[in-house]
Amino acid sequence: MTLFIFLLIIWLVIILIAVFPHHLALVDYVFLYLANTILVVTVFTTLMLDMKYLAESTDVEKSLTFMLYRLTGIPLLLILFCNLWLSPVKQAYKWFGAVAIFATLNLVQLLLKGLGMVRYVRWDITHSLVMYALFMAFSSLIAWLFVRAERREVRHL
Amino acid sequence: MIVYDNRFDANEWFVIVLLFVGYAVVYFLPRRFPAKNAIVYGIYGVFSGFLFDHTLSVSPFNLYDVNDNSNFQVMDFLSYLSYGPFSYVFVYLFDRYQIKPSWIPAYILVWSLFALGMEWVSLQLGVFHYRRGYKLAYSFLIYLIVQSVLVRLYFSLQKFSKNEAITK
Repeated sequence: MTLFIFLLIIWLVIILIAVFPHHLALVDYVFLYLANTILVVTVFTTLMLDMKYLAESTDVEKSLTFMLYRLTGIPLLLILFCNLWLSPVKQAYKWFGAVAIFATLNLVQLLLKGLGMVRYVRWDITHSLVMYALFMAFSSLIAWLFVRAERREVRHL
Repeated sequence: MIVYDNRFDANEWFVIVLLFVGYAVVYFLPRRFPAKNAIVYGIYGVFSGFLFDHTLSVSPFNLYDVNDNSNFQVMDFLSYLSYGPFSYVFVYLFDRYQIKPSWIPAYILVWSLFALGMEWVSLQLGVFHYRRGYKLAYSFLIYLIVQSVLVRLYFSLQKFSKNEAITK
């Protein structure tokens, strides 16, 4: 059941990415997916394996579903955020979108806990709020730098 | 936590040398791609290292460990960074020699065998520690897939760059 629920969530995110106007180039999307996935897997592996703040379920389906969400769900939500954040829309829309994505990330985190896919050892909701806020800040920063890389290159030529 | 080794020895030196040599090669190669594409080709290698090592070497699979123990260490992070130059050089030579479509499977095979050789050396030096019956041959499948996807990515980005240039 957990696999079904999370596949549904991930697919809804894919639909949102497909439907929303694209303000970034293909190469930007590819870069953001690769960079965000590296960021997310590094942080989660450190939190679970080294710091023991979080513990994942020993159930194979739950464990695999959580892995799938780390590798696709979170990076794709961050891409959705970057696409909106770097778009030329009004500031109010950007903040509304940012809050909605931030809320989604945290609600799904609660769902992970509620469905027993992850166990909080030395972790609480405040940590989740800070972690996802940092994910979004870092993701938007690298997206901004990457988009500007081309402009800098053009200036040098 | 499983501990294999506590000293700064062959596996650490191997990762550091690989990292320096790899990035030096990338630095001294003549420029061939737009900056963004070059970054993507490099980061793809790092990503594939993270992707497979953070899925196959963690629960529920636990098929192997990287470096001195089963935890995630700084040296593990550096070893993933060392994959970057390989993917960049792979695409660089592919583009430089304009590999014909009929020769792509052969090109991928040569690189996969080379990657397998590098993994065998890493295994001897203690960078990897196989568990639960994992074999070097299983990595062969991973290399074939990773490099096929990289070729696909190269063509997509090339097509996109051409379309963008026409639009401009």
